[in-house]
Amino acid sequence: MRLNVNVVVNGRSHALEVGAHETLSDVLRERLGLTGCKVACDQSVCGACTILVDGDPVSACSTFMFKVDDSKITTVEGLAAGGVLTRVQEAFLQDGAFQCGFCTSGMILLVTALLARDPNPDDATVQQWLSSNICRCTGYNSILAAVRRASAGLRTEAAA
Amino acid sequence: MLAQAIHPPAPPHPIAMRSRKHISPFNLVRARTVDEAGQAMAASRNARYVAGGIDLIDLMKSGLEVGTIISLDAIPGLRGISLEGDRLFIGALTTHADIAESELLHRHVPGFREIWATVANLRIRMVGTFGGNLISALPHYDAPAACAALGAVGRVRKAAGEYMDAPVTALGGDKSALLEGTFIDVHEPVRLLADRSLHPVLSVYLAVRPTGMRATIACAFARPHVIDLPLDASLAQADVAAEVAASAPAMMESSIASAAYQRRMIAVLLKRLLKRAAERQP
Repeated sequence: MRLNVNVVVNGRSHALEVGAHETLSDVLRERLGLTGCKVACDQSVCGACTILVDGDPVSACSTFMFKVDDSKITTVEGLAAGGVLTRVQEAFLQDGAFQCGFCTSGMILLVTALLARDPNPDDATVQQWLSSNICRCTGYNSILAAVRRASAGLRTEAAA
Repeated sequence: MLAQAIHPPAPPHPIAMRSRKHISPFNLVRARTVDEAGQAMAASRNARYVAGGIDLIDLMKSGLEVGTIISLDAIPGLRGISLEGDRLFIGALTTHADIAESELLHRHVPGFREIWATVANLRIRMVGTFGGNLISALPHYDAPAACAALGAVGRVRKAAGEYMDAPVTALGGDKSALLEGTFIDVHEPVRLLADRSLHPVLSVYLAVRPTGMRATIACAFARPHVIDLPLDASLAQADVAAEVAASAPAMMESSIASAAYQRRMIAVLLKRLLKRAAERQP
């Protein structure tokens, strides 16, 4: 069964005809070329496919495309405006919060969602959020440092 | 007004799909009322309701073929938590994140919100629904265990169109039944405790009311194992916990924990909960 689905992806509106059975991750990657949405476990466990749907972190691999009709979707490709990295992206670079990089786009979107809700989260909250995405390289300490750096940067920005 | 990109239809079998598991095509019905959903179920062969969809999409990637999927997203009134007289109502489409943030639920069933902030991962909590968890009723799922401890009942529309209230432990398995929501009796104070430290090997829940306590043991059994306990059980924690563990029915086969280990851990986790109940710890 074919359906018409309208979505805004990274600020751009798209009218798509999709199969009812198509997943969000497949449409993002294969139709829109947004390969920053990684697929690893393919069952909503690892978090590599994390994208934002109306600001909430969601597993694209476990979401039917029809479920996001009329939604706003953000992938890692939509974060940097005009080539200028966001505070979260910049912090990940400065703290070396990645090694192989496969989890990084999902991690960055997860942290972006967290700091949008709570610009100054305590360590327990940060750890609880990060525990939902798997990184097998860093041991998480550098990612935690990046979250703290981005959070401090956002607070400075807000105070200025 | 944003410029809209119009995309041509994709080829029917795109090559190089990243998802490694193929999902068979199906028909989609977007129901606007519970009765419309029920009628679509009655009129379709091999149909399933979908709420959050996480379990269903997983099953379909593993080969489950479904003729028609009936989406419940557009039905008003199925998401949210409300107080109806002496009963709390949790709509079937209420997400785990909604529960973890509910002030009303926290006020009437202390402990529930804190437990739900640790259920599954954050992305699943954002999308996964309480009703879906009850209907899927996998042995390690938390909603059946929590609801069984609280003596909750589910409001269900059966395939023939009649409505009935059923104990939550009876909800799993009937894919043609549509769960509207779950009622929890709060006419007397009740709090919920859980030890999920060994999840998914074992979880133990304990509902504490002035008139008695009910424990449920999940993960080790196909359905939560329910034990009613007198209030003074919290004073003889070790004895009661050991007795419950010894008398528990046979465990399911597990590749990660032996039955003997699970039985031993029932005693350990239940003793911890009874101690918390006696000391009125959260």
